[in-house]
Amino acid sequence: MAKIVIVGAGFAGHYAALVGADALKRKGQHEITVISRVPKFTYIPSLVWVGVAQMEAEETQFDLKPVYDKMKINYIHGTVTEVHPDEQYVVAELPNGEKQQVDYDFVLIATGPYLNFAATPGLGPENGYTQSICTPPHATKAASEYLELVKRLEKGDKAKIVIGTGHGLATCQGAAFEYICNVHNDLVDRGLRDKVEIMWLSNEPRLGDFGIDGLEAKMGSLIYTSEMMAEALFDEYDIKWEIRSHVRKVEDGKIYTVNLDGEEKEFDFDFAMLIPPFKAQPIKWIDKDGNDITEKMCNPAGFVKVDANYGKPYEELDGPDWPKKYQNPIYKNVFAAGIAFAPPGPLSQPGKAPDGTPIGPTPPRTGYTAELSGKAAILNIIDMIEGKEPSHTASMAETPGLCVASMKNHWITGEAATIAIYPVARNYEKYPEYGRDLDLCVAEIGLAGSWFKALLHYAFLYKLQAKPGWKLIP
Amino acid sequence: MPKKPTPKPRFVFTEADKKRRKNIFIQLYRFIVLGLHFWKLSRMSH
Repeated sequence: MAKIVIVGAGFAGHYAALVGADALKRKGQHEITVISRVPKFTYIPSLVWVGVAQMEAEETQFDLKPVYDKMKINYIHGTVTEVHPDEQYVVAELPNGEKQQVDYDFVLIATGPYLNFAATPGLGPENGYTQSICTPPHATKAASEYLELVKRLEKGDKAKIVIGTGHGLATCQGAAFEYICNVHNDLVDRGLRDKVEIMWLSNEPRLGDFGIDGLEAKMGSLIYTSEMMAEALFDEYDIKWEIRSHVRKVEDGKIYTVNLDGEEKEFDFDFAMLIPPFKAQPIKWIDKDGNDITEKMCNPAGFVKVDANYGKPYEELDGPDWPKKYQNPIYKNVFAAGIAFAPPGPLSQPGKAPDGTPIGPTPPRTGYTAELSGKAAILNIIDMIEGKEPSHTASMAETPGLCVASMKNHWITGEAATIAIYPVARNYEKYPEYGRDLDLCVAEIGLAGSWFKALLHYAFLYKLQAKPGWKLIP
Repeated sequence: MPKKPTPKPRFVFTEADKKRRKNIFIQLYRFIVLGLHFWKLSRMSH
């Protein structure tokens, strides 16, 4: 009997648990245990609607335990603080403060990110002056602050709104893009848009980069780029933008930035939502002699090293350098997926301000990409249980990125950008001209996207609760 | 180091583009076409 421990229950961890339990149910007495610090699954892509008070946070969530009971998966509500790869156990801190040792034969680290608001003084809703839509409580607080601002606007005040990224190395620009568009359209619907200046502030090297080095798609004979789309949209929405920027600090009502040209700027705001940089959840890796081997197992941000080619400069990185099997090269029974695996480098071109401050998006590995990496990792674990070599791959340089960026949520008047890229990480070895197959890439704005976004919300929440027919939903 | 983007003529959405984005019949068609495309891409990765 093999014991599999999955640390984390987001897109990667939770989906891996379902796929693993389903695949193992006819293969003998194997055991899957999920350890998660949050007892609910959150469909994070819908938090953008929570942040503009158009959806309750509870509508994006479900309890994990009933799903795991149904799928015969063990569940521990706790935070993993240590992994002992030689002795094959993890230490979980339970909500009551007690520590529990959980033995494993295989472990999949899928913790998701630690939101590193502390990297920028004054950033964040807890100890700073800006909002976030990264977690249900954050999105709920953002909605409450946003509605306070709306009340002031209704009384005749004018305001400045800044939305984007709160650090030179932040990622998930797409979520901020969705939020700025939803805020714009919500204010239009309330008849308040003329009272507000809205600004996009980000670390992208060019508008529409989104942390994936932008995208190109064919539109007749025209090669249409995400930069063209974002510029045209922001012009249409009267949104100003400031890109190539790192936020140095935030004070009450003021954001201080430096950009790639070394220009230092200050921006006033009445309401700001800035995505923080991510680092790994704090887990210590300890060997059999009690030595801390975290530096050996993880990159400097704490993400677990897998089968990628690390250490190459950005200009030399190509498709084959991205991990395929999500297996740690030192301990073959350790896997990492989703945000938790260490990427070999950024997707977007990195840069530095003249003072050395790094400015450039780190690669997003959320949502669909996280699911695919989690699925590949658990199927590889099952291969190993059966005595085979891991055979399942889900390299970001060989799999698509599917994204629907909401701009307004409404069945008749809604809009969203439907985006498909293949592959996510540019693969010049396979596609020498653009690094991607442009016949498969799509970037299109319209009402259809809004239907997709709503459909995905219900379809994913259905699938991830393992309801009848869940395996049919991709 | 990323080069500063050079100024160039901006792409703009024409009035026809904006109407197309909201036309329910065109969007129903696009919903089917894009849905099939998403399905195809998702099957390629599973």
